[in-house]
Amino acid sequence: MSGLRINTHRRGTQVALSVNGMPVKAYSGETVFAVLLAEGIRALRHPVKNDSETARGGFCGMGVCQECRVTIDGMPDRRACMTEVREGMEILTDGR
Amino acid sequence: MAPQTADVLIIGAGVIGASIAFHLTRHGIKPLLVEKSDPAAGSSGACDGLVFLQSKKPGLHLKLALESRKRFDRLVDQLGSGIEFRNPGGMCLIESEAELAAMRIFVEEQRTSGLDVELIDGDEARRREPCLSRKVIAATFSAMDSQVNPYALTFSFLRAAESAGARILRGEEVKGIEVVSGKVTGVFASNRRISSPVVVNAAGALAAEVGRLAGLEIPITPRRGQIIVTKAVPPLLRHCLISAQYVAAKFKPELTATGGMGFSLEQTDSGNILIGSTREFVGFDRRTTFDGVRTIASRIVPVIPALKHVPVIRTFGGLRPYTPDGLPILGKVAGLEGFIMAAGHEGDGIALSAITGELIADLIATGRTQFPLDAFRLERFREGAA
Amino acid sequence: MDDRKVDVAIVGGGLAGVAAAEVLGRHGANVLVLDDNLYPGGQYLRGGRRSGGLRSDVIGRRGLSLIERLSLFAIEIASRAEVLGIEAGFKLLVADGNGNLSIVKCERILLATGARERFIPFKGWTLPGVMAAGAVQILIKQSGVLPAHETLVAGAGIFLTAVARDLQKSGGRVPAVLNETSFSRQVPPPGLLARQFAKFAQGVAMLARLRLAGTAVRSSTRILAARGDEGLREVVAARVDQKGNMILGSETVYPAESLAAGFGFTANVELAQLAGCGLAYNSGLGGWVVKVNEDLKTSVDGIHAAGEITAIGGAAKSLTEGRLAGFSILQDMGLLKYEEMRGEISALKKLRQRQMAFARYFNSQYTFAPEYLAGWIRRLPDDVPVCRCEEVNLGDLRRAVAEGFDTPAGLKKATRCGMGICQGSTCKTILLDAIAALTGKPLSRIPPPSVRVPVKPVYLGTLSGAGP
Repeated sequence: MSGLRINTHRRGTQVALSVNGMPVKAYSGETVFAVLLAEGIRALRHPVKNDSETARGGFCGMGVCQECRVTIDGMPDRRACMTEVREGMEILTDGR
Repeated sequence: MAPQTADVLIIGAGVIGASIAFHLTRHGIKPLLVEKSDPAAGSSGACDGLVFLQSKKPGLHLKLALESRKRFDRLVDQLGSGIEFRNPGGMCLIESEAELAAMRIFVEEQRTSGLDVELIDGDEARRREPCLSRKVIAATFSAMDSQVNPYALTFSFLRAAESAGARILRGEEVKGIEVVSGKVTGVFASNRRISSPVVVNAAGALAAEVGRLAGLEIPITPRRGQIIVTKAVPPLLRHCLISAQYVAAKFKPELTATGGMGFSLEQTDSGNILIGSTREFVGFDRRTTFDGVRTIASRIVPVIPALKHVPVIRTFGGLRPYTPDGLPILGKVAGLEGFIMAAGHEGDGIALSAITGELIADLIATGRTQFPLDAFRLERFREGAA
Repeated sequence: MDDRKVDVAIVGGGLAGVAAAEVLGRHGANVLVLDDNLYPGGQYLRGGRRSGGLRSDVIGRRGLSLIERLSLFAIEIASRAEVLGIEAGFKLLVADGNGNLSIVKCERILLATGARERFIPFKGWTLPGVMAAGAVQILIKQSGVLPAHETLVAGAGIFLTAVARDLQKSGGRVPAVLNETSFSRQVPPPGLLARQFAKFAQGVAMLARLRLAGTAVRSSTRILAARGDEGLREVVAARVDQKGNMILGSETVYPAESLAAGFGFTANVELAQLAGCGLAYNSGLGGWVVKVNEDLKTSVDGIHAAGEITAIGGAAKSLTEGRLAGFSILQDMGLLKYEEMRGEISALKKLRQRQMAFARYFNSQYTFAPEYLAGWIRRLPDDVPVCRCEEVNLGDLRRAVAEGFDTPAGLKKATRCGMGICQGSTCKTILLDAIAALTGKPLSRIPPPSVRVPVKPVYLGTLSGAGP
């Protein structure tokens, strides 16, 4: 169990997926955002206009701010915080 | 203390009013603009930025547009790169044999009016614009077609005008126009009277309302164009694009029944793609509708499939100032000295803003214009000479 | 989802929406609940039964049982269904979780679209590792994941205490809870304290437990900056006086790789606005809210509103209003006579008034006097981001205001603030607060910009009917 996963939380079955080509184990019921954090990935994209601006990660956690956009199974602009992980899911971060 | 007098008073700080103000300051005249809301709060802030020559009616309309387009190169130097003027060239996309037949004739007429335009087949169109699907069987291409940021252009005109002494009153609506013995002497705005011997009606979709204040019947009616805006994406479109339907239907109305809605697209400097547009007479209703946005979307996705998974983030409806003959109403008005018309550009306001500003400013400053404004006079509608 | 026709469409499957659906279903109305989330229950229930001891609270249990009863009445809750717009008639344009578009026709609508968090920006707030307070709570409740082993909690409002406790109970360390609001403002009015004693006692107990576990709890403390390179490394905070001026020498640096920042809530009124419902500005109710009468009718015939969009007020109020709206709709439909339920409705209305009193206190904890907020914003440096999506900062806004742009629509064009993919949902309140601070205009006179379909981003392909 990853260090950031809470022991008392009842988790679903384990699923295997990939993040930026890297194999990752997670549990059904977790959101992509949560899984990425558990893997230590919190910078999900880079701002477009301003070079001096920092990287961005998920912010509001409820599907509103659009900062957690990732590509899931080839579909761009999917909100990580609003998507649950599934077996075989392929996640790519740092789309635009 | 707000101004009480002006040498020239311009009603409306959209792109037309702003351009006139800018060009007046080149003559050393310092106009006062009276704007009921914010600059570009009307149609100039709810439109796409196409400076498209291929969509203009061959003849006077196209000639006017060509003159305007030529002036944009100079404007970039005068106003700066903030106006986001780009010249990627434009393509008019043909999707049926009927459209192709109409466009062959149209191209000849365009060339006669001085536009350099070439007809290319579908494969060549796709070679130049790879995102196009095979629904495009042919296209016409013009190297001069361009695009600009319409509200940035408006703001830039105004900034330059203000730094040369023009003034703007924001949030002030003109409620009355004072006429004495057939001469305009001033306006009433927000409990204040401003005297001016010259009043320019640059009120766009509201120009008829302004005209009534001066006792004039001006046949400008709002025609809504709904536009879809996508999120910013990496460069996808290499040209600005319109459908032949958009153009051909102007001249062969029977094509509207068969061809579906015309569309236009541009990708802005910020990467957003603007897709238009409906053409609806709905009064002053600026809302977008389910039917409107669904129709635009369903027209464009088959033509540019890469847009399928691009998110739409907003839509808007712009009220284009429509006139019965498709030409703007420009110049002096018989029997009402000092009242100048500069409205009715329908969907061509951005493209024609450069030349309109210059012509009207020249008219006011010198009494002469580079070419005659007879064909654009208000009286043409009364005379049935349209 | 196919095109549908129903009697009542409920937009929002949170506590207000499901409470209304249960009342309506019980009395035989043909109802469809459209919820944009993965599971019904809104922000309150996120995670349902899964998050261990966290959901063993009365309201949580009620919410879950309401949802269960809905399936008993065969009331459909369409999850991952986003209502993009409303037109007269009524017609709702809906995009489902599979990228399909459909139209739902209905006679009546209940809008229960809830709230989102509201922010006051600070330097570095866009760094990875800085998250909304609610985001942290959702991570814990829904996915059972901590944002980090240690999380600093800061901002304004009593929600911060709840989030800090959620973190601690889940095994996370909370070095400090920093609250902008002064201690004296946190003390409730005596009348309210007496009537809601249990609630406040609970709050005090939470603070005590936080302190016992080693969390420093500070009032009158403002986040100055979040610092780091690729991600958050430390947070700088300072004490402020009663006027909001920084107290020199009070700057403290907290090493942190995770910050839960919360500044209260703002109602999701956009769909109501699009549908033509009248809005009102009331800082005691949480800012811009949908105007409703005591039967929760909006200004549009046939549209009711319930829950956070009538006033930010918490879960219990949402349950009450959901039920009240349900009864009101039943009366309108002729499925219920007022006399039958007069007692219950009257009791609910009284309960609602008591809950509104608590709501006012709750909202007072993160709303500030105009001069206070203006001073706060004026002290922010130019490079503080305002619009995250379009990378517009406060300096850009200041320059545009100096040029004469002083309306939301004008500033949007002049700076691109609000033109990004989040459609202004994060920056709208920041922009309005900034305009108030920079121009002196009261917030009640700065109406939010107009809303158009789609109120959520949607693939062009979905709009075209091309499906996923």
